Amino acid sequence: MNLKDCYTKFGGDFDEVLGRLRREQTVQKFVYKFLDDKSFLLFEASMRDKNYEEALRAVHTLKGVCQNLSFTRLFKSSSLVTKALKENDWNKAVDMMPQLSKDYYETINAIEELNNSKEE
Amino acid sequence: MEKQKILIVDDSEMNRALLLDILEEQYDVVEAVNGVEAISLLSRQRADYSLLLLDIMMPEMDGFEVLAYINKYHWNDSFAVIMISADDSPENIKRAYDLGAFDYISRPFDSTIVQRRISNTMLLYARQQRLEEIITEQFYEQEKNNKLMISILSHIVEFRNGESGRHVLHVNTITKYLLKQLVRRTDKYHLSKPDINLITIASSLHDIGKIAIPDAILNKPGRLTAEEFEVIKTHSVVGADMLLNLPVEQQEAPLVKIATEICRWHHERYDGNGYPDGLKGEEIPIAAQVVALADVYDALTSERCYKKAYSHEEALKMILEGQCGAFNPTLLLCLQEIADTLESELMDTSSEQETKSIQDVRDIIDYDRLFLNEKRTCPSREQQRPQLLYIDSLTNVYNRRYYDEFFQGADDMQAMAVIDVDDFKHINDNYGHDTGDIVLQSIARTVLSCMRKTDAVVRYGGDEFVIVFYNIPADVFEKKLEKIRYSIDSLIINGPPELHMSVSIGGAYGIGTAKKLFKVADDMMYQSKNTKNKVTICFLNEKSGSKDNI
Repeated sequence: MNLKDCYTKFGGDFDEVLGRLRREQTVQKFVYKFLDDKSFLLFEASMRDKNYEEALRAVHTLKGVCQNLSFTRLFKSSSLVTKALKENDWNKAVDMMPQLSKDYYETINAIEELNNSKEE
Repeated sequence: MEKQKILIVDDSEMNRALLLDILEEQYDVVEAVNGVEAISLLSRQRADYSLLLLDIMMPEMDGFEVLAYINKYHWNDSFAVIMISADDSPENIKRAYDLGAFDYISRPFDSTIVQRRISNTMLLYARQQRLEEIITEQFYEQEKNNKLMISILSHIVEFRNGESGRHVLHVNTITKYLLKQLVRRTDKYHLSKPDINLITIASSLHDIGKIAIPDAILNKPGRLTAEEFEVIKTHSVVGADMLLNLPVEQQEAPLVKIATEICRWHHERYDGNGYPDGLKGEEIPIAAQVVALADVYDALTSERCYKKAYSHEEALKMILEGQCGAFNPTLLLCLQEIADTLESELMDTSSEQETKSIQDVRDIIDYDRLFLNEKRTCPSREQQRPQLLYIDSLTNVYNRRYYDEFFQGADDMQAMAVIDVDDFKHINDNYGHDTGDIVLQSIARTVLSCMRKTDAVVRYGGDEFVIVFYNIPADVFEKKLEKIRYSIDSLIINGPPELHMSVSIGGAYGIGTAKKLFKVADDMMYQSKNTKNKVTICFLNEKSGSKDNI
């Protein structure tokens, strides 16, 4: 599995990101770096604690990262949650959490799979 | 070349890393994780940074707050702020611009676009800063030349009546403060800042008409006769006419217009009893009213050959009591309000600055040497000789040769002083001759700055100086010598090492031969040497030839 396959798998736009960041190595470096990004975990925890302000910042950051890396699918779901939280619509945000979570883990899994395939 | 420094402020490590990746090859990149950290970094070393990349949504202090803070303290005068955010709603962009952001980069980052945006911004900023520097420099250069011209002018006008050259500078200062206070009090006169500046500059010209007054009257030591006073009075009209004879296009320059008013009417009185036209009240242009008051105030607080200096309190009291003319009541209020400022400005800081600017002028145009020979009535062939022949190369005052050729045989000397530097040998022995030279130069400069234009300072030999005075009243002579002693005692010669020096001064006052006066002054100097840092004067009694020591 290569980087492009990985992008296809989690619903990202590889050509778009490569066009912006120029080098495949750079894209790959940041894709792996995404595994360490704590925004999603912080978002989950903040939602649990009903700290919506912190949750908004976290999901907003996640959205920004996804945008920069052209993680199109995850960007869409994080954008929706961000919008809901900005409009103080907690319930809607909570409703959308399973979808966001699903997209997030699909992305993470795909990247880990890529990582494993490279190591082998 | 050192890389320019960029500060990235973003709470997301991923985003910072991404920007770092794009920028680190070209720039020196520093990161801050939130607004508070950014402000603290900038407050410590903001001059280091050329550009700030600022995220909007951050914990602690968000991007807008950071921007507002930067804008409030004008930090963005020296670096550009570029906002970064995915949230590029028009109101956010507008708000950022309103708060002083230079530009806006939205996510997702395109490395080429980010690089170009940033390099263009930096280029523009650097260019703007360079232009600002050039303009500032030119402005100061012009200001400096303006001030220099004023100093030169003051020297020329006042040279003839043997004054220090400070009067015009003082009138300048007083005029400026009076006008500033006047506009605080009333908007009746419609004076803008440029007007104030113009009147202040023009005030330097108030006495130019004195150039046309014969020496014998202008410098007459005793009281003037009524006829002579009438001649003096013409200086106001003469000065104005001089300006009115300028080519038409120059006459129309605001500076010349104002200067003409000042020249003609700075001796008018508010009650209508002044000259030359007997204008009354507001018939007198405000510029002339202000300069008239400034002129009187400085005349009172300065020492003149014919009078002592009054204290600032005395001068203020005399003016308010109407002893020195009649003035606009509003201006008198202003004078009272700025009295403290004037006292400190005219006594302390400004006198130092003025001494310096006078010294600057001296360095450039050596009036003493240009004119003194003429006054001295030296044989005309002597004047043809190169000046250097008579100038001490180290200290720039006259040398022994000058003294020997022009004074040695004179039999109509009036006052002379001998100055010897205390413990000078110690300086040479302990710090070397280079330091010794610097000490002599500083002392010569200080002595020179205390002297009138008509006196001659001579380096007689080694660390000994002689001053020859002309037409000086006894009490002024005494004060001058004390002023020299005090000035040198207060002088700190810049090191290393930082040195403090003193001089012993001997004075001889009374008509006699140069030889006699020198001998007496030298004896007195040796008397001063007993205690050092002292002035001893001998007043020669013409009739009995007895000495009257003080």
